[in-house]
Amino acid sequence: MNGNVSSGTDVRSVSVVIPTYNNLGLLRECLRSVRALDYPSDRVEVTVVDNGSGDGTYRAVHAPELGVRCVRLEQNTGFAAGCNRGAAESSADFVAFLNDDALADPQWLNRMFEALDGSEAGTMCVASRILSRDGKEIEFNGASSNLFGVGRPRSVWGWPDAAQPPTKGSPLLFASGGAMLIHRRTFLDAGGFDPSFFAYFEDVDLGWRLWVLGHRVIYAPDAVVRHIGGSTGTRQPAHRRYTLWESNSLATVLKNYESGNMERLLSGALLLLYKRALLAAGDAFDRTDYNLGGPRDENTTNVERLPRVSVAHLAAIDRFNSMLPRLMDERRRIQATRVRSDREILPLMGRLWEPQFAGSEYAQASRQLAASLDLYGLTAEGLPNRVLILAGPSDVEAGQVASALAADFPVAFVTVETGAAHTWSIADGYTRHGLAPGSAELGALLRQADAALVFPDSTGALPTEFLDTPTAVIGNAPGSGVSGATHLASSDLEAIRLFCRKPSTTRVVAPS
Amino acid sequence: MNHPPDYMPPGTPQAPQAENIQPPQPADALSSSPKSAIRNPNSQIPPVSVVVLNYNGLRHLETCFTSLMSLDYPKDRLELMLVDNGSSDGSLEFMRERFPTVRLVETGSNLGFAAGNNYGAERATGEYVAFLNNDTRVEPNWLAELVNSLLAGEEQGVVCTSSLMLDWEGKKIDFYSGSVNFHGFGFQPSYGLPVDAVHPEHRELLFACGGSMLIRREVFLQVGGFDPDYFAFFEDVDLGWRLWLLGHRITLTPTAVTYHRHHGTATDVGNHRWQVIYERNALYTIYKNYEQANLDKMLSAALLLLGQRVVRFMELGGVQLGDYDFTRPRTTQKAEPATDNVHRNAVATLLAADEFRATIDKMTPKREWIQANRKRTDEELFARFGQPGRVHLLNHDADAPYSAAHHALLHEFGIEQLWDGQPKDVLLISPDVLPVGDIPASGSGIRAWALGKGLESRGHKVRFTMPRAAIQGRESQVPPEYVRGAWTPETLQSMVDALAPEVIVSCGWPNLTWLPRANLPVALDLTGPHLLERIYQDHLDARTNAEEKLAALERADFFTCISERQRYYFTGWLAQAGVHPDEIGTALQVIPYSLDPEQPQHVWPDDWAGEEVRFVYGGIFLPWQNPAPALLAVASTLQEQGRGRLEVIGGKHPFHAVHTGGFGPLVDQLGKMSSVHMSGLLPHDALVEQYTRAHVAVDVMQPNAERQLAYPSRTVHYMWCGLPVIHAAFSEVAGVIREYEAGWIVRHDDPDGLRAVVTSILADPSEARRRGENAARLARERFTWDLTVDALDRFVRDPYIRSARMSRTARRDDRAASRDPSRHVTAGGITSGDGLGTNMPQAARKLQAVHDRRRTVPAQVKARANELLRTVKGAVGAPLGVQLQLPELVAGHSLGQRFYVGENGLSGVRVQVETFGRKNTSRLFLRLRANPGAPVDLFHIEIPTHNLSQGQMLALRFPPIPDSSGRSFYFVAESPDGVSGDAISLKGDVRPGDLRAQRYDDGIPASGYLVMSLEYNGVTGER
Repeated sequence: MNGNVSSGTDVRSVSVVIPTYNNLGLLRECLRSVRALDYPSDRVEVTVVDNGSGDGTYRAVHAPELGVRCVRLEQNTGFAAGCNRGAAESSADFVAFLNDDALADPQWLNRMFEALDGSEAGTMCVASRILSRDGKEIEFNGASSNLFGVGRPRSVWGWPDAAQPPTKGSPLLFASGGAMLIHRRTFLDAGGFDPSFFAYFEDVDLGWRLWVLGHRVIYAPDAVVRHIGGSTGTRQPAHRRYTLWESNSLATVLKNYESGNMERLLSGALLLLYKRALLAAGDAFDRTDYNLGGPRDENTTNVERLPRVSVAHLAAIDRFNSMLPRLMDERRRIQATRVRSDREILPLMGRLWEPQFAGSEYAQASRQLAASLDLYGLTAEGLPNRVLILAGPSDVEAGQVASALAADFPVAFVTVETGAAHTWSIADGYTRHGLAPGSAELGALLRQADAALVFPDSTGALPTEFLDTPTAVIGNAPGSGVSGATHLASSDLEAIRLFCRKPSTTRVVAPS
Repeated sequence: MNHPPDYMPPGTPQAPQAENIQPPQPADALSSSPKSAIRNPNSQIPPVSVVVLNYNGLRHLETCFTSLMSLDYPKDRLELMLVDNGSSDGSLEFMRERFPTVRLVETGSNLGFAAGNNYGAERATGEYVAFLNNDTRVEPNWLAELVNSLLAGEEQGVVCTSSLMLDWEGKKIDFYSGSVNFHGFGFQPSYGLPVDAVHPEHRELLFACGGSMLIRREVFLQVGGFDPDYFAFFEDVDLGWRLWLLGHRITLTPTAVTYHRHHGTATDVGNHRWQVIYERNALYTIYKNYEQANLDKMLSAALLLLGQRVVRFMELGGVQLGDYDFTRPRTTQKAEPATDNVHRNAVATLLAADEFRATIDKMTPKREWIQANRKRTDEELFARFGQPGRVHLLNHDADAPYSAAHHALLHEFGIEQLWDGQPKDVLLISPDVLPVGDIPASGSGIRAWALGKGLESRGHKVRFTMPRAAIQGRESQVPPEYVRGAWTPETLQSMVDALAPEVIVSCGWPNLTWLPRANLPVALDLTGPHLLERIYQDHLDARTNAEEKLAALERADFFTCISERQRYYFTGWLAQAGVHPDEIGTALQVIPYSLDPEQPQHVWPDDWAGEEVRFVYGGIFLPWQNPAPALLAVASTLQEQGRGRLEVIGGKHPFHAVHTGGFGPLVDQLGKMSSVHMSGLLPHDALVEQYTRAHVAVDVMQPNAERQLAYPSRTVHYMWCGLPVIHAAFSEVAGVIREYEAGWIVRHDDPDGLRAVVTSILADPSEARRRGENAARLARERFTWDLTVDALDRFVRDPYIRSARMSRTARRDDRAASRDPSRHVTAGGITSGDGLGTNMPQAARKLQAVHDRRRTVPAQVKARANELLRTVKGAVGAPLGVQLQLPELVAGHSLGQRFYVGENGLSGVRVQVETFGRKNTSRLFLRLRANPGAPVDLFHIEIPTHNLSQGQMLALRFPPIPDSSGRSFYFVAESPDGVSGDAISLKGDVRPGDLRAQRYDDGIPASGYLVMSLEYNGVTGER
């Protein structure tokens, strides 16, 4: 902290809150970076919340004379409750949350305030960019979430509604709890991080809730924090982390969606959770043992041995049920004070159908469910399906389809050319991309697309992600089995439009 | 309805009976209506096809078709069909040979129950089609009764009617009634009850049993028949639900009797295979049938509950949820196993959900058709469900947490509001004789009756049951349905299982001792403090009594008591029983002692001239009540005045073996006085008759702990009969008597005051009438059950299971189980010896989870509490033991103890730290080894000592050792960097306490003991 700079009364006071649990070595480094912040020292206080560490954290770091206070908790109350406690104990205007294994850039706070000052009214929370220790990897560079509350530290871009990567002041669904700035009163009034989450996804829930309550969250990509890693969670075995992930994403869905949407999305979330539980079991059991007409059973016990990572999904259900009364209280409170509709928030989520389990079977199951339960119907207005068109550069027909669809869907028109430099432009309401096969940009667009239309003359090998994106193969495109020239009739366009509205499985649209 | 065997509630020979039960009707009597008397207004006998579906059921065919050949139905109007689902057992050949007139229809392959029956119906020629399971036989008039029933109801829209199904011997009910809960599970209420326990009446049903029913063929086909995608199970529920939605009606024809041989088909395949279909079909049913406004909410709740069932099946297989708790600190370096055993029904249930997901598209067009054509709202349907909020219980140990989750979900999702106002099925367990027969009822019986009647006045369906012992030998004086429906400690649980009420109301806590399953919401009425009663009744010693009482309180969710004073009294008990102090305010409510809103008419003389003023005292003589000084004062005053008389109506308790205490001498004394008229206990009606003709009641007891807390039912009863009461000032009811001027309040220790009151009444008896009329008004306004039942009604309407009670009940069960090795935990529905592969009682596993979740009380707090306890006990001269000073733990030394373990599931060793009042910096290692010579640790933990406080408990916790019982282990503490002056020690004691142990210093046996306690299955072993 910069003790030499005298502060004006207009300099906002900040409390840097660092929750920690048995991580003294890294915490010391973290605190050194905080002390080096370029911010008037009399406007910064540092609060370390010790979640019951047994490694002497308190004695090592508690130094009020140096501006570092340690709040000592009897036991590990979790990341969320630790942050809340730190915020509650402070009297500063703003709280900056920082992971105990992260190093803040000296300009960290200043950059976040700059972004805040340049933003629209109602902005109460700023996200930092988080880099790996060596600065080579970007750990947090925007935010998105699937429909079921599973957040990702990346934004979606390349589409007409978000053509560019997020920049200073871009709205984000949430800020990483590992490095963010938030107006303290707003944070507390909104209920802070949900302590019942204990850890994981509490930042997704908070960001989402802030938007619901009428606040805004923005990005300050030049406010940089380096994350050393070795976080607390990885010391627990995977099945315990899964239990938290799964129950917390359900909790996020339960709390934040509007009535009507919530119930249907919860049904979808549960059916997909059960699917994940089965997929995570792998070949631990023989499916045919459960068919009525199946072969005689070799397993004469009533028991199956399942991987704990599979059972964890159901342990999450039990945990979720035990959280339910509290979550519903929260839900009633949030919904009663809702300012923004789901429809306004969905665009911030960006990747509604991002599968949260690897493999085509899951991806297809989730698409099928979206169509069967008509979850697409809930999202069509807020965030219509993203349509990727793969075609040759001079395919007039594909261009016409793109123009026609662009009124209803965000459309990216991609031509793949070996060795091509990445180009893009906006025309007719859709983005045009020229991409090299196998490029990261192509992969990103394919992953983000909800529906892909493959036209004749589209060339280049398609990345494997392609397989999991519902695809309509048009006319005599590769894989369609149709040969000869094509001319799409208006009925074909309707079929394509219908496919884009409810993409589930790959299909062929043969010109009529 | 077909069910896999898992879901059959256990049949109970002594099962209870419903209210309004008629005398036994043998099955024959049911089928004694005129033969073949088709009562068709057009005197047209309609053609009927009987479809018997068969899949490798050769062994059933002879019996089934022999009975069908004997049907009293015109042969030219009857088409008997066997629809064969691809049998390979020679069924067809047999039929051709043996029953050549029966039409054979071959489906070619096993289409399942639903599609097979549809196939038959499509090909049938009758105007009506009857579906009959092949493992049945029917009465000769079966078909004529069904047809008559439909013809009679056709104008009202009845298109389908169900047969009454009995077991093969005709002794027990199989299908009498069909109900469904909100997530699509069908039930057969009354299943397994004796035939004479229900009076089969013609009535409407949500669905007809698919195993024996008649339906208009045209309608059946038009609505789509049984849903072929079901294959089997719940297709009849779905059909019934759909028929109602589309505007039709369904009835039961109790005079059409079918006998059902059990599980002719279903037992041949593993239950887990059926589980897939069963669970999936329930989801299909709700997905298709709910209106759009309800569908999403219902489906999400159903899916959450499905997940809960999976969780419970996983636990049954051996999963400990605590292993999945992120917040649980890791105490060992030992790698955790990567797998867990789960019951196969867990996998099956997940597969069901996934099959549902994958096939929703098949259901959607059906859903759209039904919704487009529906004629009735969901709300109208809920009224037909029977028990929309019923828990899908499997009657095994995992039920209780499942049931709790079910109720919590209904509440939180606001689902119960959808059928708000719909009555609940309540079982009311009385501890004593109910006022229903010609034998005297006690106050607690009347109390129970009042609560039940109050609930009935709010529309609930209440079944009353009283103890068999209470009516033993006097059965003829009690209506037979109450005799059949009486409970015994041995049968109470199975009675509850069979009746499956939605809520239990237990009057008095001892009843709950006999309900170990604890899987339904329980309201417990706490009548009277029972301080002295239990003692006088020669029950257990006070401490055991208290433990029993606490255990019973822990099993209930909602509590009522009779008065404000008792509310304060029971607040303490509830706090002890683990009800959170913040919750007691809502969990414990006052319902005054209450009586019928139809009050008896008091008879007052028009003219007091020549009328003797009649004072009365009535009720059971109980040793903890002393009315003697007051009664003697009244009697002697009357004697002195030479006017009026005192009637004493009473005697010893009719049921409980309670001596009469001081009443014997009192009765002797009173008997000698000419102003006194004595008579024995009277039945309720006769007693009321006496009261309505008396003029003044006397209820002035000497105070004791019991009386001061009591809210005397006797006095309420007097006032209800229109009697003014002379009552003692110390009693709580005195206030309201004053307020209404419903009597006279005297001090119990002021005989002169009492005499003065008696004298004044004699002087002006009309004052008795005025006050008596006030008393009647008071009773109506404050003590009638339709007005007082509010709080209980609210609970019954939206019942719940306290989450806290699951853990406590489990702990007690677990302790009982772990003490008694002969007690095996059996899981109903899960066959024993199914290789669950665990020694750990289910209750312990449940508890583990709960305990893990709740491990929030810091060890320091507990240690501090223990220390305080020690101090307190020390102060009153009862030291727990003499402390033994043990040496400082410095490098190279160790403190150890070999100890014997008497129970399975050892999961922790706790010792107490001695810091010598210093801050220490050394590290402390706690290790568990097989024996002192063992070179390796079974488990160990490293504890930094700088934060330790004096007396703190240190725990070495580890996964439960399933077979620890009967083995010894060695515990040792070391501090490798401890230096003298900066090291800690452990607490020692010269006495072993509960332990069987040998202490070691540096591996060498030493005298004294380490203070140590053991944990089992994650549970602290402190008792």
